[in-house]
Amino acid sequence: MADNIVYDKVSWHYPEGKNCSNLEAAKVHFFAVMKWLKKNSLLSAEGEEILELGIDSDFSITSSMLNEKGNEVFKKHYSSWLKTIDYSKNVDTKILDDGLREYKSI
Amino acid sequence: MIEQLSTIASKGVESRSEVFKETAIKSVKESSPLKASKETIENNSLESLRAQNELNSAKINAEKIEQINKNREDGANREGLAYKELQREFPEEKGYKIEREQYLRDQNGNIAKDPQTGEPRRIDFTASQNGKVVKSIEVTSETAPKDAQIAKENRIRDAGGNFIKDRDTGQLIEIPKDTQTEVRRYA
Repeated sequence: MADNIVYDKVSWHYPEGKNCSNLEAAKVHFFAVMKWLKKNSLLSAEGEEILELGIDSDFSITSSMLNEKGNEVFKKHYSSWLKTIDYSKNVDTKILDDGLREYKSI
Repeated sequence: MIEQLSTIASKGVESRSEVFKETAIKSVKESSPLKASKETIENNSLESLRAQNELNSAKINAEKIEQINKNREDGANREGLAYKELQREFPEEKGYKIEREQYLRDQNGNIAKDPQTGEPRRIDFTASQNGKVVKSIEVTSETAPKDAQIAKENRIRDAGGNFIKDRDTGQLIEIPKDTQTEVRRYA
């Protein structure tokens, strides 16, 4: 089977990461991106099931949670997007929006 | 003060308010250039401090922005190392299958939840063979505490969360009671 790519994981930020003060700070961008994935219908059935569980210390975003379009956008743009945000509550999804538009226009 | 008292003594007590006024004016006149210089220095220092603060803030913000992706990369690298090790330990040609990010499930295939916190448990890596999980691995940094997650996992498993679901076949795979998650730490 194809490897299940792990795009990001809460524990990589807290407690494993640096300069992330607490679990809540680590979860902020996950809430934002899961909302964005749901809004743009980019989740797979597994992703929908996991979304129902909420975001906790074990949460991660994997390729098996996204549909084909979601994976295409994430492979290209997730890392670039992450480079534009910090652990504050101000999470802008513009880069992901632009990436999705680019995918749609192909 | 001694100068003022001598003047008062020589001119008389009535003139003391005038003496103090004169002294005060003299004092202001004398100190004005000094005061002006001091203000200039202070203003310059404040300007410098402001500029320095702005630079520091920009640097801190840049570091914060870089840190979030750096933390992701570090985590991904640790798991990449662990995955390679597991592939050597549990080779596919010997019938092993390694899966990532598997939730503990009950015998009906539902994601099991911790009776204490209500949270599920997602295992970093599992290796299975012949329909049984033979290894369960939690990957972390050299210092991150994992006791709470392992305690959660034990409670879920005690409550019947002893399965994972094969993503290819949809079949449930049992995690035997004696297979406990091992924590592997990487730099």
